[in-house]
Amino acid sequence: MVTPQQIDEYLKRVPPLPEAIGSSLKHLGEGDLAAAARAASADPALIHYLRRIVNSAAYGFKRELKDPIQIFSALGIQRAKQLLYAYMVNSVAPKEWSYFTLEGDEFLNFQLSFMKRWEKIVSTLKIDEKFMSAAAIMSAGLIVADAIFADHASDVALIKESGDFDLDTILERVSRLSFERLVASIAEKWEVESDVIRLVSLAFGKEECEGGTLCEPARFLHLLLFYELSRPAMLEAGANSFISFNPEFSMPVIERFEEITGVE
Amino acid sequence: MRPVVKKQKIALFTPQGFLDGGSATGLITMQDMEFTKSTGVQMILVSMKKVVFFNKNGIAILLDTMMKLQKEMRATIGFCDYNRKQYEAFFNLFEGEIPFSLFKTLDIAMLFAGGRSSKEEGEENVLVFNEDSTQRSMQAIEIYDRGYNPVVVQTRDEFNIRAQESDKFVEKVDSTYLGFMGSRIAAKTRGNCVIYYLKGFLDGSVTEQFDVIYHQNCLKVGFQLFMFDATRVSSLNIHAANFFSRLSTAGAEYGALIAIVGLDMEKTPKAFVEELEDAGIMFFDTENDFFTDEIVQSMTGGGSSVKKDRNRLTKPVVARLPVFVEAAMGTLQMMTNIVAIKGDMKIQPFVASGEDLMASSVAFYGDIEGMITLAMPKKLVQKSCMLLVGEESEDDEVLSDALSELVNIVAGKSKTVLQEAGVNINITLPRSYTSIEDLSATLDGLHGVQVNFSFDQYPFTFYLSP
Repeated sequence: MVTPQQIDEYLKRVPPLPEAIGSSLKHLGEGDLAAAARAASADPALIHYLRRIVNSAAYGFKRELKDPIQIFSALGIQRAKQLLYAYMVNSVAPKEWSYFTLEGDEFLNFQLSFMKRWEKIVSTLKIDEKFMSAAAIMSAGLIVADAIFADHASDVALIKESGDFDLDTILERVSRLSFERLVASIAEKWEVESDVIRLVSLAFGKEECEGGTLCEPARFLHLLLFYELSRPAMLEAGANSFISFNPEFSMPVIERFEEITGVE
Repeated sequence: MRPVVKKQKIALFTPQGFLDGGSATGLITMQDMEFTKSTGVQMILVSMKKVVFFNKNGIAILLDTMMKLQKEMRATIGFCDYNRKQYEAFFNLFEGEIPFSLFKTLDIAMLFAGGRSSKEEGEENVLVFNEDSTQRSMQAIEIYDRGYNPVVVQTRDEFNIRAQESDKFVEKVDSTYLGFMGSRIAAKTRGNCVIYYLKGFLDGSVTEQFDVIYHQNCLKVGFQLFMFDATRVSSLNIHAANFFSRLSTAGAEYGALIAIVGLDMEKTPKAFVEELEDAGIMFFDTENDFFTDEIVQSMTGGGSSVKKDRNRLTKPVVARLPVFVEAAMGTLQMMTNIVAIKGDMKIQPFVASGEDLMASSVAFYGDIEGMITLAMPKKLVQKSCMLLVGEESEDDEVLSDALSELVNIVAGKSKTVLQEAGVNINITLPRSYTSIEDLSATLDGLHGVQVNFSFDQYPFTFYLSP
């Protein structure tokens, strides 16, 4: 159905960081928001995206932010980084989804909600803010899944009639690869910090995780992903079975998660 | 979310993550409801295996949809695959007044849905415990009605002790709650025989309680022995007698034998018995008498007279042969990532090719009718079912089930392609064979199209029969 060669071809087609974003991220790494904003200004599509997002209800700034320097200053270093990666993820998203029945802004809304809630968890738990980008990176998994299974929707539907298979399990059984690995490959291509990539990998919930500093954040991120994938739009789009949910992995943080996110 | 249909008995929804007021609205859409209705299943369940959070609002929204299905399909609705904490949460949320059923595992649900096959003759014990005495009795009765022997214990401690004797029980039922149960006649399969369990006074309502589609599907895939266990029947009236008579006549073209076992002859009007005997129905005192009867024994290998009057393929079926062959080849290639090499194709009786073979069939009906059989060596079954099973299993039962799923996928794929061409078919439940001799006996006397393939060194046979 899907061969490792086809997946390799797909990964080769994922673009590296454009110069404007690479340079902007470099300046953010140095803590220079103004220089980062100036570098980002070289990409009008990026600025258009940032204006749209920061002026949405999700960010709730009191006045409209237009100027790139204003935007970057209002966001701060880590949130700006997060949005640059979110922009990259959106840039590889399909215009029309083939496997998942996502329409219009549904993916964008999912990603935004995922990032905002993750921000809240990061700040409440006082996790290092550099991990804020993890949710944006993780959302790339859905795009990879859609690309890989685009031409196999009917085959997958038939396989899923035989059992409650998630796409990751099918991928692993036919190609010995997993979305966790594919997302990590893309993140590496985009020069994401290695411990952020490690957190994203752990948050797929497939590895034993005991005691490490990334363990608890990974449990929260895994749980949050499935909170977002349980929303009606994502359920109806078939995204709930993107990867396998691991209840045991999330169980230690469920009560705290409910408190932070206000789930009742 | 599309449900997975388990053994044509249970439609199972398996959401992952959260089941709250927001998510529940998107779980079962209108299309999912239509699909579920088209399956004609007896149970509609939501698995809680991968649900980490649920609240009353979410369950109430979901129930609203499920109850609509229950009303239209007269099906049992509920939840399964939960842990003890979730089980207790259901009672707390609904303050003890639960309007649905709860099954600790899918296997337990399948026991109540009558979708389990039995391997051996004789008593099959089911251990039962519930804190509530009414539930204990109710569950014991339902289990008994399905042909099992309930062993009821009064305390949790006793249950835990008895549960350790695992070889004595085919199932251990606890943390299970029966709400409204559908009133369909329970059925289970044993080898080549389908056993139905009847109870009470049989009148015209037997027509509504009997799952005709399931019965027809069994006939189409070659089941020939149908035993009605009437040991718990008080008597029957003319409407019920007519029903059995019609059933026997309809099964005659498939060479099917219908037997009624354990009916109290003193309470049954002689005229009814004579009428039923004239329709070809046989009567036995006990299950043992039935299974040791010479005629019955001659048919337990699968029989040799499937559809005697229709032993050749019709032109419209042959015209669609490429669709079925492509679907079989495509599915196997998809499952194995091995390129198939097509061999010879002939109209002929089925000829087994290769050693250590396993086989499974599925029948289709509608605009065209026929049966697809796939036969291949166990090694190829292991390879092709890895995607479904997850590993190269050695377990024959696991492989047999996976092969049935594989043949189901082939039929499903064919159905989709045919539908696009304006040809509508329905597919039956798949049937796997205990041996290749069993398959050969079922296909004996038939002329179908046999296409031989090879996948690497393994032979693979596709057979399309009337």
